[in-house]
Amino acid sequence: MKFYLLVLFSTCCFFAKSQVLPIDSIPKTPTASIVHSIDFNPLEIEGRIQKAILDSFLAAKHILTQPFANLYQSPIQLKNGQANYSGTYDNASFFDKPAYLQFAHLASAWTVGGIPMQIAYKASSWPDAFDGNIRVEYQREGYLNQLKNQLSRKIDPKTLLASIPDPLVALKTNAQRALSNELNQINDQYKNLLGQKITDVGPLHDLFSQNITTVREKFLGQGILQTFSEQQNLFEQLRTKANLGEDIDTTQFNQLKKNILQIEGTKKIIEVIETHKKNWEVSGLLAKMKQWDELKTSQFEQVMRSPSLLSNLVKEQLNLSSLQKLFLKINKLRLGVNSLSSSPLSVQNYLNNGAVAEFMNKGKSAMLFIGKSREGSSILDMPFSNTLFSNSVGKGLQMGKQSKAGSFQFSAMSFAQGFQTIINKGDFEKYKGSLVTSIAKEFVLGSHGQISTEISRSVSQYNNASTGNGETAGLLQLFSLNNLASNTSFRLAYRDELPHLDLTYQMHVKKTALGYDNPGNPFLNSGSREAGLALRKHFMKKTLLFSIRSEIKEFNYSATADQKWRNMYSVIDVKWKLRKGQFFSLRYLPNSMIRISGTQKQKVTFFDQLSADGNFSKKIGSSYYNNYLSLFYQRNHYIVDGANLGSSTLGMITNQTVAIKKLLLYWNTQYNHSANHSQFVYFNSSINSELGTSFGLFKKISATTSLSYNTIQQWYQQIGVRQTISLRLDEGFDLNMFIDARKNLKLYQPLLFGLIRGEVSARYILK
Amino acid sequence: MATKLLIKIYIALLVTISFQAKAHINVQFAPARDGKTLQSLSLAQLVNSSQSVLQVRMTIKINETSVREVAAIKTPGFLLQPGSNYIDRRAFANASFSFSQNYFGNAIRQTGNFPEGEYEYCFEIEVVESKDPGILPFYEQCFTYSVQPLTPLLLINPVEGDETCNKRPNFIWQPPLPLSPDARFRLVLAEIKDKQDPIEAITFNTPLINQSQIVINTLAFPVNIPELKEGVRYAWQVTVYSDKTILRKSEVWEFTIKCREEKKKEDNDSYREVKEVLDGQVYYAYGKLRFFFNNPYNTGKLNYNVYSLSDRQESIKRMPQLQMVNGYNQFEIDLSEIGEFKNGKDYLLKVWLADNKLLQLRFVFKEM
Repeated sequence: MKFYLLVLFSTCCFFAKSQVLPIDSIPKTPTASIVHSIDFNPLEIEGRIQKAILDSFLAAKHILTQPFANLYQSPIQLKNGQANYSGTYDNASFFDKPAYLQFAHLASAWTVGGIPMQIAYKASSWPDAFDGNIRVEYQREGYLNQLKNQLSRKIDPKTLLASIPDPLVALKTNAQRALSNELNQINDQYKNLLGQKITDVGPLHDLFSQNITTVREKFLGQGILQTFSEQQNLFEQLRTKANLGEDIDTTQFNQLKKNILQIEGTKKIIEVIETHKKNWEVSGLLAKMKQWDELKTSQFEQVMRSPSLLSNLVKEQLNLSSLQKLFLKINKLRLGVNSLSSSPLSVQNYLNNGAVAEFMNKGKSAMLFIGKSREGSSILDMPFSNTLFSNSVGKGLQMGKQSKAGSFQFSAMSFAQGFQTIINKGDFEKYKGSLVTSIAKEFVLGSHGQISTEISRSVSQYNNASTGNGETAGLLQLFSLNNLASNTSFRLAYRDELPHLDLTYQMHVKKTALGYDNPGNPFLNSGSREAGLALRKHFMKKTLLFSIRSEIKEFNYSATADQKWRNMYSVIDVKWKLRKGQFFSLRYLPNSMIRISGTQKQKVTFFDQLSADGNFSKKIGSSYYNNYLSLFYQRNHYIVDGANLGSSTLGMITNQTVAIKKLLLYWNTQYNHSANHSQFVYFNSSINSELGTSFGLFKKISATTSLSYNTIQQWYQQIGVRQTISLRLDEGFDLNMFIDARKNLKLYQPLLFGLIRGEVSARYILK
Repeated sequence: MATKLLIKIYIALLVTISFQAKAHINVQFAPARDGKTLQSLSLAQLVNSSQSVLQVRMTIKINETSVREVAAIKTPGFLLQPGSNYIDRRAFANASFSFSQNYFGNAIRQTGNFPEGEYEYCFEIEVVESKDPGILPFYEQCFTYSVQPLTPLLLINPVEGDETCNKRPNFIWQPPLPLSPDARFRLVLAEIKDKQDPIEAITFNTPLINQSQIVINTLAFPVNIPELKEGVRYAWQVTVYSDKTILRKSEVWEFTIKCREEKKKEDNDSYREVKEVLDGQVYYAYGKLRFFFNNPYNTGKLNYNVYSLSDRQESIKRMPQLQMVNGYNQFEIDLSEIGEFKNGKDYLLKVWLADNKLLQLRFVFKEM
């Protein structure tokens, strides 16, 4: 017996290695202390589940040889498609007269040889101009999900989870054994009359999950008790008769006696089961069993979601073609128009028309791109026909390595730079080349800290320069120490988080040399240096947020270091979150630009604003009221025509909304009161107020109608009407229309926008 | 002395000849617009007033007053049609570029941008072939300009990454300096689609706002444009231009309209039973406590209390008053609103029914 207990106990404590109890301490029935001494180790369970999954696949490899059904019948399949169209009629744009601007966008998802791809075409046009571009993109996420789904279907969670060793098995067996012993004792007491009843109880382990009421109902239901009561009465009558010496049916008497004894015994059995069940509950055994089941299931789900396990499985278990295997290593693949962002001193916000591919394998990555820059390719830039865009043809290679300690990235890029105006768009003449190399490194510090550094150098060569020429000369320059400071840029950033204080902060410095030229990032400011810090802290269980962001930037385009511009910009926010999206916030935002010439400093422009915002909502019966209110005070000092102009403005924005069932009423007002001493009309006081309602019509139409009034002192006074209509003809087709029409009551100076503006948009889902 | 005299005679002769010659080549160049970068020098126009096509070579010499020579661009030969001509782009691209080894020369060679300085731009045109006898073999025209490079156009508000409830926000930016009087701004705002980069959104998406001719550094949300939508990300960018030339573009910033708090993921098995016997299970109440029980008695005020198990087992005072009904009862209490619950601590809920029967539930409070 002792040996048996030892075996049981060693199994029971498989997952509770820290707890070693003396064998004698295993009670026949579970106690709270022993139940609580068993701890589950989620990580270990996860490991076992992983192993079980892998084992189950090893055992059934043959079933997964054909991951893509119907692949050979239809190698190219259209999964879904959508067409969007939008048009705007407006004259706020560059043209003096109204213009109609149109955009069309066709998007479709395909699988090509089992690999999901997205193909999109975008076209835009307005007077005398058209732009169209196409993009093909590999959908990695979709590809992996598709493979994962294939695998998941082959796993039966029930069988798999049953194969995981149960740490409670000893306790359960012991508990069953104790119950079984007691039941047998009762049977003995009742002269083995209860054998069949005990068999009818069924497997004892089912009792862990069975409700005692059900068991009682089964053995001692209303009918049985009724019969019992009748039999008891009959038995009493017969006994009285026998006692009085009357003749009775002995067989009937004995049978009744046996029956009564049997039911009494059954009552005992149920009582015992009830006592045991209560004990299982009180000791916490039942709860522990439930906890085990839940943990097992949740760990299983977690394992099934982990990308590493399934990627491994996909590679090992699915019979993929070499192309399909290759796509597992491709992280990004795009052809056509795309934007690239990697790091500020390599490529960022780089619009490119060409190809980008990124390969990843075991923490290492390689990215290649080639294509023509799309700077100035937006149709919205076409009216600026005298602009000279420095378009380029770029080629680049980026190699990276990522580990838990951080990451490293090396980039080498070359750009052939041309120059073009809108008129000769597409006509490329290279006059200059730029070679850019960057090294970026990130270090992980502690659990949340991170330092990121980057250094980059650029050199330029001309087609026909009189001094040095060609790529070799360029490469030599790249590694030479000449003019190192004049064409090298760097940045350093540090960020950290202190979760126990609900605090995150970061700081950075960046220097972009005047001679640094990287067409890979169109928004780099050559000749600048900057430093910034940002901090966010939550208080009061995240209901109160304080944040500050401050930046100082200097621009020096002069041969002397003391001729420069300095910009200082800060945002200080305090936000108090209340229930149900309500909040109150304060923001202070100062910004200034200073000209520094030697010892002289002159504040050329400045803007500062103090604002308070609040959103309050209230539910009154079935109606809902919301009020957004913003109050601000701002000072804006600016230069127009060489003259310093300034204004101070006190402003208010309020949006009031009442929703009564499906009807929505709103009233939005913006009011600016300006102390404008410059008499410059753009700074004058203004009011814009709109009163409207949104409602539904015939289920498929929703509409908004509003009336508005707006005025700017000494400029204009207008009333207007606005209408939107949204039509949902069926699941796959939407149509939206918007029109805004105004009438001038007074007009002192020309408007910046037209009196009529309209929008139309439609969406059609092809499949 | 004799040399000086000879030069004077030579100049006098040249002047006389040029007065006699009716045709000439004139350079039209706007240094304020096109004199700030190397490539924009190519926008200078050459007016050939003769009636014939000329073959010319051009040299642009750039000098700066403090260092003299800065750079020179010598083009190969190209044709000038009668009338106004741009400099031949191929000739300009294939020109020989030479730069002086000084601050200005180095900076211009690297980026093509002219640093701050007093520049002289001399366009020398050598006529290689001409059928018009009135054309001189050589023309030179110089321009001067004090270059003050523009600072970047910086956005101010809405702040990058902002979440705002204002559906008609005002836009504010820092203009580039020094700014010419005819400079105007254009603001574009576009919706960012799912998985799209802001730069793509601003370049290729339908603009919601595309407002040009802005004179100052702010734009109130245009009155004739529908308000922005809840939960949508928007990208905005400002461009400064002069006539038909873009001078600078700002970065692209994004912000999101967010008035409502997103509903966070709630506990899966939402409601727990309050029982006579405490089971050993751990119930995590994520922000809210949800429980149910069966009341065999009459409707009335729910008699309940919550005790902290970690502190001195004190009861929580600010629990709301609740009403229970006969039969099945289900309650939800927002614990985060009460403010007395501590993250990760144990609590005990006790409910007394009419016959003083006690129901209990143990839970751990977790902040959302």
